[in-house]
Amino acid sequence: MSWEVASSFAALASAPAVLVTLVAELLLLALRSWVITTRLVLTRQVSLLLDGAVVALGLMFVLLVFLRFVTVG
Amino acid sequence: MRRSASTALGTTGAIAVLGGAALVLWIVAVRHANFARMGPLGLVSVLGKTYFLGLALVVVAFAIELLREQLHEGRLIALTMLLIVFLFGTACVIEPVASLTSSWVHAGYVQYVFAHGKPLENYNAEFSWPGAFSLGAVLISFMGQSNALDLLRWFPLVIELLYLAPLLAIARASGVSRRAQWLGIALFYATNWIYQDYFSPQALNFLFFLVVIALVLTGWSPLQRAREARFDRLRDRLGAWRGAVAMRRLRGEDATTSWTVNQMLGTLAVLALLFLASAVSHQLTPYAIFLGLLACLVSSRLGRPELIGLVFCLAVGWLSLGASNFWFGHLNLVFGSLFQLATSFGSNVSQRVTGSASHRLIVDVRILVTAALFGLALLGAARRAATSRTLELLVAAPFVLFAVQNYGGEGLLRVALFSGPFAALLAASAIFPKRDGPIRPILPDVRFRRHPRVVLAVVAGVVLLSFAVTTTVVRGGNDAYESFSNGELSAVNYVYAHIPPGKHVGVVAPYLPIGQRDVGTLTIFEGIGAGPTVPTFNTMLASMLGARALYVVLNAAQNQWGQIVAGYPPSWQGALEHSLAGAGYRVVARWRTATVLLLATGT
Repeated sequence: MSWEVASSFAALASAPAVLVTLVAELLLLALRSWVITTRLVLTRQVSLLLDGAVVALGLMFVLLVFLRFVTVG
Repeated sequence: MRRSASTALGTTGAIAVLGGAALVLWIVAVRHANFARMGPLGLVSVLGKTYFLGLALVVVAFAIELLREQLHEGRLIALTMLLIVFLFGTACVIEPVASLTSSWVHAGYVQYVFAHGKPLENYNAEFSWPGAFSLGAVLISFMGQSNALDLLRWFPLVIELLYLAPLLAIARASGVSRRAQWLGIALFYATNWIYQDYFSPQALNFLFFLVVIALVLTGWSPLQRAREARFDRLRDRLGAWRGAVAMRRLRGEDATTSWTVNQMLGTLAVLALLFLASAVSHQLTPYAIFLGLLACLVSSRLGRPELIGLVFCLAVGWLSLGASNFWFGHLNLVFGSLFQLATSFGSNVSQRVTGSASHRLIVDVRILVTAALFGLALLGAARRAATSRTLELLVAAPFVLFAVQNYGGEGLLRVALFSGPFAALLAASAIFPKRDGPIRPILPDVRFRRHPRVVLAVVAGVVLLSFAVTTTVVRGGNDAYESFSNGELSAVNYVYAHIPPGKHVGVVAPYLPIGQRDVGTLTIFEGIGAGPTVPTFNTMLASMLGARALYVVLNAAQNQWGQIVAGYPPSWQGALEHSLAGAGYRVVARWRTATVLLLATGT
């Protein structure tokens, strides 16, 4: 069991996992920037969903980078 | 009316004559400077009185222009450029080849990327952030060259001139008085003794940093609602600081822009491109940009907080993925100095104040110049009224970098560099403070009864001249061992022409124009090792004899370094050459400033 947990941590710390999260976060940041700059009207729910996704993916990215430093470095 | 017009014409003529005379004096000074006679104090030891007379004329012309009712931007730009030529162009003209070994090493990296189409993996930290070297390779290919050597010598002057454009934009958008804007720019150059403008990724990235901050400050301003509030009482001031971390502020809703949607989208695209370029080309600058943007956000000068997330993700993403070769197996290089403030301060300040009396004097004065600039900035922050405290936060933000990373003992230097432009604008506000704005001055106004503008212009001139003269001395203070003659370059080229691949070339310390070729195939052995402390002469001698490098290069710059920094006796290089001769080396080529020794076969 403990081996499986370690294995999954290593998978989370792999370069593809970090890269996918990074690209997703960059896309969401670009989307939010585009929406606000062009003054596109979003419903409150969609706006909250977008903000929540940006924060959640950002935290996930930081966590994965930390795991990568700890497990690989 | 006619009299005031003729006075203005006379003043304009006087400024033109002073500027022209200063330029002539500079040309005379650099033509008469003899590089071969450079002493332990560096560049200043070959500069005559004409240089300082010319510098004084530039400052006098600048002060007279500041004195006028209507400032003339064209003349101020011309005088600022003349000041830049004095401070950053003099060494470029006098020194026969580019100074600083690092600039030659960077040319070697550019040449490697040009020849192989990619950086060398697992080589060193700098090659893990290869963006600037790739740009250099593209540039030399575009110019039809095969290496970057022609770019090295004049690079400091060119990049300092390039800094002027974003600095002008930052000054205009900073909210300080008009006279303080110009004086602030001049003070930044006059206190910039930090030699980070040589051919290097950090010089290019400092330009990126300035352009990013210039775009943000010109793009957004505090919302009118926030402007109208007045912060006279302590309770109001505390309330304003609490507002800095309010959700509304952090969402960028306290900043507004007058730009059109298309202008703003274009600006965001340029900023994203700059973030990407910075993330892949320098270890530290993206984090300085991140902190700078954070300072702008909490002071209502940034309307798009996504930019902060973008630069952070790109910087950390590249560190985690692109630069993994750098931190695999030695993570302590990245996080080892985290919050080790006392140790970082020791490696950044105390350990640098060593060597001969002349070297210690130079280092002490450098610390004093920086301390004086920041002290004056503190006074300016207390004297000025403002719409926001963005400048103060931009000065403070880079200090977080120092708490996180000591950057191989150069952390404080980089903090001073990134804070410099904003500290200079605040320092100028100590002399020309703006007196109206929602944030009231902490100190009361000081008024001169007679000729207030003349008194202030004289004070500005004296401060600027003091800084400019001191920076001339301390900026070139290491040139005795960091600048090189044609003979030293010929010696290195001789070695490159004769050494077989895979063999070692031995030097005592890295003070010669080496590294511009054969990256990855030629190993350079340094007798002093890679430790933070300089070994004694005997330890270094044992190291050199034990290395058995095929070629050994001894030169004037290393000789000066040995005496000025390492404290070796004046005849140390002769003694080393004698010992090497006894260990099987023979002199194969000699110039007036350099000697090449070859290890005889069979020894």
